Amino acid sequence: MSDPPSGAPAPALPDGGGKGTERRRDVTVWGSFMWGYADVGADIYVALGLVMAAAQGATSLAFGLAGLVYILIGFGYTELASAYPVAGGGQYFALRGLGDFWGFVAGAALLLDYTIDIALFSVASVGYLNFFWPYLVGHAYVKHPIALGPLTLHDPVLAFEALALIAALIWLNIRGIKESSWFNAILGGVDIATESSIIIFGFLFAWKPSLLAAQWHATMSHFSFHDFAYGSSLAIISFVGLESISQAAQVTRRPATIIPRTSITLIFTVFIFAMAFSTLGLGVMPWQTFRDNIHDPVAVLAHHIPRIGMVAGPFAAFLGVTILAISANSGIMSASRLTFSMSRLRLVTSWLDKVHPRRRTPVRTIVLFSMIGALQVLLSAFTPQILDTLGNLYAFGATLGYILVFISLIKLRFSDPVTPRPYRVPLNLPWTRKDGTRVSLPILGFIGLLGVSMIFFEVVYTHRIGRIAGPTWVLLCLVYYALYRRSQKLPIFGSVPHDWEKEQIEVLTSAEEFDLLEQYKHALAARDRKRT
Amino acid sequence: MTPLRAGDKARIAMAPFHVVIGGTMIWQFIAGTRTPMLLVMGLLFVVFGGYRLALIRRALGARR
Repeated sequence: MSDPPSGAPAPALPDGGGKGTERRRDVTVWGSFMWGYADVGADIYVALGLVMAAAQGATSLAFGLAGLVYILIGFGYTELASAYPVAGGGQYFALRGLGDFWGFVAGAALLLDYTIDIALFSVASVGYLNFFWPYLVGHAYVKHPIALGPLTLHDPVLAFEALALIAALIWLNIRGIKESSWFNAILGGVDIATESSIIIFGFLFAWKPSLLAAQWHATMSHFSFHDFAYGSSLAIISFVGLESISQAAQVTRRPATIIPRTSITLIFTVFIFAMAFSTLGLGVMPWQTFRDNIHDPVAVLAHHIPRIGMVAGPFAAFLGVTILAISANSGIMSASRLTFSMSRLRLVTSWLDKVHPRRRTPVRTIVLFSMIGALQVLLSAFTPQILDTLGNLYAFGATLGYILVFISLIKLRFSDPVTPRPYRVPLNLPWTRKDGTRVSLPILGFIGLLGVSMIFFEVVYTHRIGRIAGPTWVLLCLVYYALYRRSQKLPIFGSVPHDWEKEQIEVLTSAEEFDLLEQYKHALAARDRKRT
Repeated sequence: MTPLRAGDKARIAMAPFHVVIGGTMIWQFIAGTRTPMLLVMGLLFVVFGGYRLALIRRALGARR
């Protein structure tokens, strides 16, 4: 891919971004890992309480099932991101595999997730801030509902705090904050050390298998499929953020070497943490305690661990505030990156790409998507549980995007077998087509598609708000898409012609993947010889 | 005589610590913190440290 023209989203790039061109850097394996971890690692801070409240004693099972699907999604992303190292991520893969229309649908689903990223993580961040409420005010945090006619604003203080955080993030991003990979690396390192300490000390000094078994039996004795399906579909949100793999691939030199290593490590690290926290949590406290502390579950868990709890609780809360605020900020940045990619591919107007003349920041996307995030906070504040409502929507956008990514993965194996894939999803079935082309069928890709479709079904079946608001968002985006494409005299369901081979050569050249470039040119030449 | 690598030196130095850490965990369990992982990990640490110490003892014997 050629460098974006001047006017590329400035805050969308970590270190060195903002000069108008996206340049590739020597991102180390650790740096690349931490980039992803800063995004995905924060999810457990939000998901633990939500899943506990729904899946109760079967929370570990819910995390386990969602985690298995997530591992398969991760394999798919790793293959696609190392083969097509561009920042568009799922939207780009869907467009490349399925055409403009489905590329836009994937983009709309991801944009929904990025705006919810802003809203959900802002609420979660200030939720952890409220852990310090008793230290500051002298009593525990209490909701003060306000009746506004027929509606009730259930938690106005939390909503106000979240809106203030979003306002601060807008201001910082417009001024041109840079996402420092050094800062991410240090914070991510501290977070991994803290989470590991909580898990080790928790298992050693506080974990009681009898409590875990009792909660498991109590839940299973009156098992509710609806509650479990709701919990396992919410568990997927603890694994959302794999787009960061693509975003890291975009600016990494030699991504084919770096990305598979880092993303596989990232996938398993996050999975292990999610399983460990849920199993530890159920063996330390009753699930009802997590439900009652849905806004700061990790801090409460850390606080209950003997010996380190007095320090670990507040420290985990402080870390939660920081890492979740960074995740909220990454939602703003990712939305800018994605809209830039979409406008370059003529899926949305280039009006969104315009940057501030002096600060070189994409003011329009920052303000637009942050305001949508703020609106989501405001609307969800009218429901009994802000986090739960936002989690509903988050799961819808993520699963829809992942379904399209899996379909694209399978389709691209057929339509683009010549692009070298430095990493392939394991377990493939070789197959020679009638024209002699050799294709390998990704068995795990099909299983992953089935798994994520099941979670999507659970989302639609159990999420009362997500199943209405999610499709409404996608439909509204499609109306915009139809109007925009019509105004540009472009096909709505068809695709604009793309020279993918030229683009792939440019991508590999800019990534300095010269071995892969040679392989690609040889494969193209062999295919052309066969055709003639 | 083959010189010891840095990794081997570290392993030798850590062997008694494994026994000490494991012993402390078992003592903690006996003293009242009745969490099973404390006992399990304590025993594992002691056994592993003991195994390492036995290896060192055997290697020293062979060297003499």
